[in-house]
Amino acid sequence: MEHSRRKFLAGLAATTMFATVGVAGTTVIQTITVDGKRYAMIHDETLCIGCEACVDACRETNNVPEGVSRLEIIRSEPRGEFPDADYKFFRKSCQHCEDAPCVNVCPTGASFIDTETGIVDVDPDRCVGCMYCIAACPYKVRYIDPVTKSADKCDFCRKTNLAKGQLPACVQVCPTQALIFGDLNDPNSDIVQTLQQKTVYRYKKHLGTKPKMFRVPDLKGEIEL
Amino acid sequence: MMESLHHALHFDSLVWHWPIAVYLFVLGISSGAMCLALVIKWKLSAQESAAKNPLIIAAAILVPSMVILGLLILIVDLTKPLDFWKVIFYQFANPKSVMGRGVTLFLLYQIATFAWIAIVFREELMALINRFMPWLLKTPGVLWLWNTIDKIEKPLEISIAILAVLLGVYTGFLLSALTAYPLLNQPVLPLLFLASGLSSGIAATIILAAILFSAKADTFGMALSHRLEQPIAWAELALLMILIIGMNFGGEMDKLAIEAAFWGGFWANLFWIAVVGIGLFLPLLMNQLASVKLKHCNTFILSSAILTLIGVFSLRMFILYAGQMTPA
Repeated sequence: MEHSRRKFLAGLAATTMFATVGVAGTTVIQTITVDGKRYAMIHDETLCIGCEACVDACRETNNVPEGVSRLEIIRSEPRGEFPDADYKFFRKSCQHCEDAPCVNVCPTGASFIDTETGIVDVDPDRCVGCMYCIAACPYKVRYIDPVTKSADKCDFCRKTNLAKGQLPACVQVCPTQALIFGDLNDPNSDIVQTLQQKTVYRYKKHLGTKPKMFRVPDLKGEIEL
Repeated sequence: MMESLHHALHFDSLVWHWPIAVYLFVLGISSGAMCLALVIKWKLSAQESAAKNPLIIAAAILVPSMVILGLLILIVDLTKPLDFWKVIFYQFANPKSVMGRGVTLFLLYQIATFAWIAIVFREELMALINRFMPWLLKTPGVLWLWNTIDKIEKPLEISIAILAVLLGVYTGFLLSALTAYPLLNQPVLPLLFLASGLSSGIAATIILAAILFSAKADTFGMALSHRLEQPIAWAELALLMILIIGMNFGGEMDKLAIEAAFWGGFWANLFWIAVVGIGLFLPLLMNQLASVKLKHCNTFILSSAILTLIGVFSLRMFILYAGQMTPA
């Protein structure tokens, strides 16, 4: 009797473990759940042509002053020989980390993760400009806004387009649909569907920041982080 | 030469500039001076007055003034200096923030050290107040408060010792919390900064005591200070070696950070010449070679202390800048 009960418990434990692994295996990206949505973005580097329409749209929509930028497209060295040469493009912008170093170091709570959307944002009124968050960000996407003197960066258009029920400006304007935006908690969203079909990588994932910016790597070869 | 200096002081991944190094330096002095003053006071015999000891007087001046100077530097360095009160007001908004806990620590440390100064220099302060502000002693509660802290002298001193050590390690944790830079994100940094803070605190106290309060080699506490200096310098050397060797056992970025910081370039030169050579080896060597007579000469005492201060300030600059050279 005693023996079979132990066996039963062991079997139960094994089943539970298998179930957990199984779930985690199929939904790689469903790591934690915040109260509501968990917005994320995919930059498909195979589709990006480096036109930088996203950069301009972002500046206009969010009234970003000259001299700073929430979004940059970094162009690689040319690959191949003319006329078969091309470039790789890398989107430099806030990764909306789930374990965000900028939020962790902020002494006043001005840097925060919005619980309804999972978006990392800054309260400019609370910010004193100690620049601890700028130093802490491994992606170096933060800057001091020359007008407000507060730290600032991409907020997935949380206070502009998203508030109006529209997609972020960069996603709207992209001529090749290289940007996909959506809710990771919604299994039917474009972003979750795409993540299940395409191979993606995340920049500096090893730092444990749990970034929510996914990238579809361009062409063959090793992905350089 | 000028160009390499320009590159050493301006690069893309640099966020925090030299004022932060000065800030870390003066906080270290305050922490170290406080520890030294407590050790000397505890060793004093009952007949001697702590208020008459030149080293304790010098430390009592350095401890609060260096914290105030450090905070002024930090405030001026903010992009919104007039909003500095928000750091105090919202300090518990993010319990995990090292800087937020630092603010809490400053407040406690400043209150505790002022209370300590009030009881150590009670007679002197009483005389001053009687002369310039006699109304203060008649204000209800002032004398009562003064007498109350007098009664808790020992527990107060133990709390201050703990706070001073925390202040010393805080200067390291402030940088080691930055995962974005491998050289800064090192667990040994708080200990290294505590040790070098002690060195600089002792050195600054000796300089001030010798110049302003005519401290000599036979002043009580001077021999004790020198006895403390050497093991601390050795500990600093050991911690630096642990940092370099340990990071060489680390990942790719750790190795790259070590290579960029310690081998070749402006900051590597500053490290080997100013931090290790001038700040650690030279004072250690001078103490080994000098005769007892020479060691008792004030010029010798002062020059050894100045070399230590140069070394510690160079270490702060080196860690801050070289640390930010290599992002993770």
